[in-house]
Amino acid sequence: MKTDAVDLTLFLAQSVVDQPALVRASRRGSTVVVRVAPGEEGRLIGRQGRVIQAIRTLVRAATDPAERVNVDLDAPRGG
Amino acid sequence: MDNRTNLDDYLAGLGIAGADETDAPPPAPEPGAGPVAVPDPAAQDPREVLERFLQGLTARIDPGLAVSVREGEGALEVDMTGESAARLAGRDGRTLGAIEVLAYTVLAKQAGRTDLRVRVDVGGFRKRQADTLRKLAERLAVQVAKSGEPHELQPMPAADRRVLHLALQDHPDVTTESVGEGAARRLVIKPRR
Repeated sequence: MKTDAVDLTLFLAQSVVDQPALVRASRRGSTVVVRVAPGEEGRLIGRQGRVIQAIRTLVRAATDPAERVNVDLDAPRGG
Repeated sequence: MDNRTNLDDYLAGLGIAGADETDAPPPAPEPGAGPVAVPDPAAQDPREVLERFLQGLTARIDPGLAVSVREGEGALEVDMTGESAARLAGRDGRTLGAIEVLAYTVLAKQAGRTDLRVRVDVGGFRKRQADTLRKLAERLAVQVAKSGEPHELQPMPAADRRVLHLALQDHPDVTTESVGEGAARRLVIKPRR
Protein backbone atom coordinates (compact mmCIF):
# COMPACT_ATOMS: atom_id res chain seq x y z
CA MET A 1 0.00 0.00 0.00
CA LYS A 2 1.28 3.41 -0.95
CA THR A 3 0.03 6.10 1.35
CA ASP A 4 0.67 9.80 0.99
CA ALA A 5 1.58 10.86 4.53
CA VAL A 6 0.59 14.49 3.94
CA ASP A 7 -2.79 13.58 2.47
CA LEU A 8 -3.54 11.14 5.29
CA THR A 9 -2.48 13.63 7.96
CA LEU A 10 -4.59 16.33 6.36
CA PHE A 11 -7.64 14.08 6.32
CA LEU A 12 -7.21 13.02 9.97
CA ALA A 13 -6.59 16.57 11.18
CA GLN A 14 -9.61 17.86 9.25
CA SER A 15 -11.74 15.16 10.83
CA VAL A 16 -11.13 16.35 14.38
CA VAL A 17 -11.36 20.14 14.06
CA ASP A 18 -14.31 22.48 13.66
CA GLN A 19 -12.89 24.31 10.67
CA PRO A 20 -11.51 21.67 8.29
CA ALA A 21 -11.13 24.16 5.47
CA LEU A 22 -8.45 25.98 7.46
CA VAL A 23 -6.22 22.96 8.03
CA ARG A 24 -2.89 22.87 6.18
CA ALA A 25 -0.36 20.07 6.08
CA SER A 26 3.05 20.07 4.45
CA ARG A 27 6.17 18.01 4.43
CA ARG A 28 9.42 19.17 6.02
CA GLY A 29 11.98 16.41 5.74
CA SER A 30 10.55 13.38 7.50
CA THR A 31 8.01 15.48 9.38
CA VAL A 32 4.50 16.35 8.34
CA VAL A 33 3.73 19.77 9.75
CA VAL A 34 0.10 20.59 10.45
CA ARG A 35 -1.46 23.98 10.89
CA VAL A 36 -5.02 24.48 12.16
CA ALA A 37 -7.29 27.47 12.66
CA PRO A 38 -6.28 29.70 15.60
CA GLY A 39 -7.70 28.29 18.82
CA GLU A 40 -8.14 24.80 17.41
CA GLU A 41 -4.73 23.49 18.44
CA GLY A 42 -6.30 21.79 21.44
CA ARG A 43 -8.59 19.79 19.19
CA LEU A 44 -5.67 18.46 17.20
CA ILE A 45 -3.63 17.63 20.26
CA GLY A 46 -6.41 16.17 22.39
CA ARG A 47 -6.35 15.40 26.08
CA GLN A 48 -2.85 14.41 27.11
CA GLY A 49 -1.87 14.48 23.45
CA ARG A 50 -4.00 11.48 22.66
CA VAL A 51 -5.32 12.73 19.33
CA ILE A 52 -2.02 13.85 17.81
CA GLN A 53 -0.38 10.67 19.08
CA ALA A 54 -3.08 8.58 17.40
CA ILE A 55 -2.52 10.50 14.15
CA ARG A 56 1.22 9.79 14.39
CA THR A 57 0.64 6.11 15.03
CA LEU A 58 -1.67 5.79 12.04
CA VAL A 59 0.52 7.77 9.66
CA ARG A 60 3.52 5.68 10.66
CA ALA A 61 1.60 2.43 10.29
CA ALA A 62 0.49 3.44 6.80
CA THR A 63 3.90 4.52 5.52
CA ASP A 64 7.25 2.83 5.11
CA PRO A 65 8.61 2.17 8.61
CA ALA A 66 12.09 3.12 7.36
CA GLU A 67 10.79 6.61 6.67
CA ARG A 68 9.96 7.20 10.34
CA VAL A 69 7.44 9.86 9.48
CA ASN A 70 6.66 12.26 12.28
CA VAL A 71 3.64 14.53 12.62
CA ASP A 72 3.90 17.85 14.41
CA LEU A 73 1.76 20.87 15.04
CA ASP A 74 3.16 23.96 13.40
CA ALA A 75 4.58 26.25 16.07
CA PRO A 76 2.84 29.59 16.18
CA ARG A 77 5.02 32.31 14.74
CA GLY A 78 5.59 35.90 15.67
CA GLY A 79 4.30 36.54 19.18
CA MET B 1 -18.39 16.45 3.95
CA ASP B 2 -21.40 18.48 2.90
CA ASN B 3 -22.98 18.26 6.29
CA ARG B 4 -19.82 19.29 8.00
CA THR B 5 -19.43 22.29 5.77
CA ASN B 6 -23.01 23.25 6.42
CA LEU B 7 -22.45 22.97 10.14
CA ASP B 8 -19.38 25.15 9.89
CA ASP B 9 -21.31 27.74 7.93
CA TYR B 10 -24.10 27.56 10.43
CA LEU B 11 -21.78 28.06 13.39
CA ALA B 12 -19.81 30.75 11.60
CA GLY B 13 -23.09 32.54 10.87
CA LEU B 14 -23.80 32.57 14.58
CA GLY B 15 -20.33 33.86 15.26
CA ILE B 16 -19.40 30.96 17.52
CA ALA B 17 -17.23 28.85 15.25
CA GLY B 18 -14.24 27.61 17.17
CA ALA B 19 -15.26 29.74 20.09
CA ASP B 20 -15.36 26.90 22.52
CA GLU B 21 -12.91 24.11 23.23
CA THR B 22 -15.52 21.93 24.81
CA ASP B 23 -18.24 20.01 23.06
CA ALA B 24 -21.01 22.41 23.85
CA PRO B 25 -24.35 21.22 22.56
CA PRO B 26 -25.18 22.72 19.19
CA PRO B 27 -27.48 25.72 19.24
CA ALA B 28 -31.22 25.19 19.38
CA PRO B 29 -33.08 25.47 16.10
CA GLU B 30 -34.45 28.87 15.26
CA PRO B 31 -38.12 29.25 16.06
CA GLY B 32 -40.15 27.88 13.21
CA ALA B 33 -37.05 26.50 11.54
CA GLY B 34 -38.23 22.93 11.74
CA PRO B 35 -40.29 20.41 13.63
CA VAL B 36 -39.71 20.48 17.37
CA ALA B 37 -39.37 16.72 17.34
CA VAL B 38 -35.87 17.12 15.92
CA PRO B 39 -33.96 17.89 19.08
CA ASP B 40 -30.64 18.65 17.53
CA PRO B 41 -30.32 19.88 13.96
CA ALA B 42 -26.56 19.52 13.85
CA ALA B 43 -26.30 15.99 15.23
CA GLN B 44 -25.72 13.36 12.61
CA ASP B 45 -26.35 9.67 12.74
CA PRO B 46 -23.35 8.23 14.61
CA ARG B 47 -23.10 5.21 12.40
CA GLU B 48 -23.05 7.31 9.23
CA VAL B 49 -20.47 9.63 10.74
CA LEU B 50 -18.27 6.69 11.65
CA GLU B 51 -18.65 5.00 8.27
CA ARG B 52 -17.79 8.18 6.44
CA PHE B 53 -14.67 8.68 8.56
CA LEU B 54 -13.51 5.09 8.11
CA GLN B 55 -14.11 5.16 4.37
CA GLY B 56 -12.02 8.31 4.12
CA LEU B 57 -9.34 6.59 6.17
CA THR B 58 -9.24 3.31 4.26
CA ALA B 59 -9.32 5.13 0.91
CA ARG B 60 -5.99 6.65 1.93
CA ILE B 61 -4.44 3.65 3.66
CA ASP B 62 -5.63 0.83 1.43
CA PRO B 63 -8.67 1.07 -0.85
CA GLY B 64 -8.81 -2.75 -0.76
CA LEU B 65 -9.93 -2.70 2.89
CA ALA B 66 -13.61 -3.36 3.44
CA VAL B 67 -15.28 -1.72 6.43
CA SER B 68 -18.40 -2.87 8.21
CA VAL B 69 -20.00 -1.14 11.20
CA ARG B 70 -22.38 -2.91 13.54
CA GLU B 71 -24.40 -1.30 16.29
CA GLY B 72 -23.81 -3.11 19.55
CA GLU B 73 -24.94 -2.19 23.04
CA GLY B 74 -23.57 1.26 23.83
CA ALA B 75 -20.93 0.73 21.21
CA LEU B 76 -20.26 0.77 17.51
CA GLU B 77 -18.30 -2.27 16.39
CA VAL B 78 -16.13 -1.94 13.36
CA ASP B 79 -14.54 -4.77 11.45
CA MET B 80 -12.05 -4.13 8.70
CA THR B 81 -11.06 -6.91 6.35
CA GLY B 82 -8.61 -7.08 3.49
CA GLU B 83 -5.10 -8.08 2.54
CA SER B 84 -3.44 -5.40 4.64
CA ALA B 85 -5.63 -6.14 7.66
CA ALA B 86 -2.91 -8.10 9.45
CA ARG B 87 -0.51 -5.21 9.06
CA LEU B 88 -3.08 -2.81 10.46
CA ALA B 89 -3.52 -4.96 13.53
CA GLY B 90 0.15 -4.39 14.22
CA ARG B 91 2.09 -6.19 16.85
CA ASP B 92 -0.10 -5.26 19.75
CA GLY B 93 -3.17 -3.60 18.32
CA ARG B 94 -1.70 -0.13 18.71
CA THR B 95 -2.87 0.95 15.31
CA LEU B 96 -6.36 -0.25 16.10
CA GLY B 97 -6.24 1.72 19.33
CA ALA B 98 -5.25 4.82 17.36
CA ILE B 99 -8.18 4.35 14.99
CA GLU B 100 -10.46 4.01 18.01
CA VAL B 101 -9.20 7.24 19.58
CA LEU B 102 -9.78 9.17 16.35
CA ALA B 103 -13.13 7.52 15.64
CA TYR B 104 -14.33 8.40 19.13
CA THR B 105 -13.15 11.99 18.69
CA VAL B 106 -14.92 12.26 15.35
CA LEU B 107 -18.13 10.84 16.84
CA ALA B 108 -18.03 13.28 19.71
CA LYS B 109 -17.48 16.21 17.39
CA GLN B 110 -19.70 15.38 14.44
CA ALA B 111 -22.47 13.35 16.06
CA GLY B 112 -22.33 14.84 19.56
CA ARG B 113 -22.04 11.38 21.05
CA THR B 114 -19.56 10.80 23.85
CA ASP B 115 -21.50 7.88 25.31
CA LEU B 116 -20.71 5.47 22.49
CA ARG B 117 -17.66 3.28 22.63
CA VAL B 118 -15.97 2.38 19.37
CA ARG B 119 -14.37 -1.00 18.94
CA VAL B 120 -12.25 -1.53 15.89
CA ASP B 121 -11.31 -5.02 14.80
CA VAL B 122 -9.46 -6.22 11.75
CA GLY B 123 -10.15 -9.63 10.33
CA GLY B 124 -11.37 -10.86 13.71
CA PHE B 125 -7.99 -10.16 15.38
CA ARG B 126 -9.56 -8.61 18.48
CA LYS B 127 -12.22 -11.28 18.65
CA ARG B 128 -9.59 -14.00 18.79
CA GLN B 129 -7.75 -11.99 21.42
CA ALA B 130 -10.95 -11.74 23.47
CA ASP B 131 -11.52 -15.49 23.15
CA THR B 132 -8.02 -16.07 24.47
CA LEU B 133 -8.68 -13.72 27.39
CA ARG B 134 -11.92 -15.48 28.26
CA LYS B 135 -10.16 -18.83 28.35
CA LEU B 136 -7.48 -17.33 30.57
CA ALA B 137 -10.18 -15.94 32.86
CA GLU B 138 -11.80 -19.33 33.18
CA ARG B 139 -8.50 -21.03 33.98
CA LEU B 140 -7.52 -18.43 36.57
CA ALA B 141 -10.96 -18.53 38.18
CA VAL B 142 -10.59 -22.26 38.79
CA GLN B 143 -7.14 -21.68 40.24
CA VAL B 144 -8.34 -18.87 42.55
CA ALA B 145 -11.37 -20.86 43.69
CA LYS B 146 -9.11 -23.79 44.54
CA SER B 147 -6.40 -21.84 46.36
CA GLY B 148 -8.64 -19.23 47.99
CA GLU B 149 -5.93 -16.68 47.17
CA PRO B 150 -6.52 -13.63 44.93
CA HIS B 151 -4.65 -13.54 41.63
CA GLU B 152 -3.34 -10.27 40.24
CA LEU B 153 -2.88 -10.01 36.48
CA GLN B 154 -0.40 -7.94 34.50
CA PRO B 155 -1.51 -4.37 33.67
CA MET B 156 -3.67 -4.31 30.56
CA PRO B 157 -5.83 -1.88 28.59
CA ALA B 158 -9.35 -1.08 29.75
CA ALA B 159 -10.93 -2.98 26.86
CA ASP B 160 -9.13 -6.18 27.82
CA ARG B 161 -9.98 -5.79 31.50
CA ARG B 162 -13.57 -5.31 30.48
CA VAL B 163 -13.55 -8.64 28.63
CA LEU B 164 -12.28 -10.34 31.78
CA HIS B 165 -14.75 -8.57 34.06
CA LEU B 166 -17.65 -9.60 31.84
CA ALA B 167 -16.37 -13.15 31.48
CA LEU B 168 -16.38 -13.63 35.25
CA GLN B 169 -19.23 -11.40 36.40
CA ASP B 170 -21.59 -14.33 37.02
CA HIS B 171 -18.95 -16.76 38.15
CA PRO B 172 -20.09 -18.61 41.29
CA ASP B 173 -16.68 -18.77 42.99
CA VAL B 174 -14.79 -15.56 42.13
CA THR B 175 -15.22 -11.81 41.67
CA THR B 176 -13.04 -9.30 39.80
CA GLU B 177 -11.76 -5.85 40.57
CA SER B 178 -9.44 -3.37 38.86
CA VAL B 179 -6.66 -1.82 40.93
CA GLY B 180 -3.91 0.71 40.26
CA GLU B 181 -3.97 3.82 38.12
CA GLY B 182 -3.38 4.67 34.49
CA ALA B 183 -1.15 2.36 32.52
CA ALA B 184 -0.55 0.26 35.64
CA ARG B 185 -4.23 -0.53 36.12
CA ARG B 186 -4.75 -4.26 36.39
CA LEU B 187 -7.31 -6.86 37.21
CA VAL B 188 -7.48 -8.87 40.41
CA ILE B 189 -9.48 -12.08 40.56
CA LYS B 190 -10.63 -12.77 44.11
CA PRO B 191 -12.44 -15.64 45.75
CA ARG B 192 -16.13 -14.91 46.34
CA ARG B 193 -17.15 -15.38 49.98
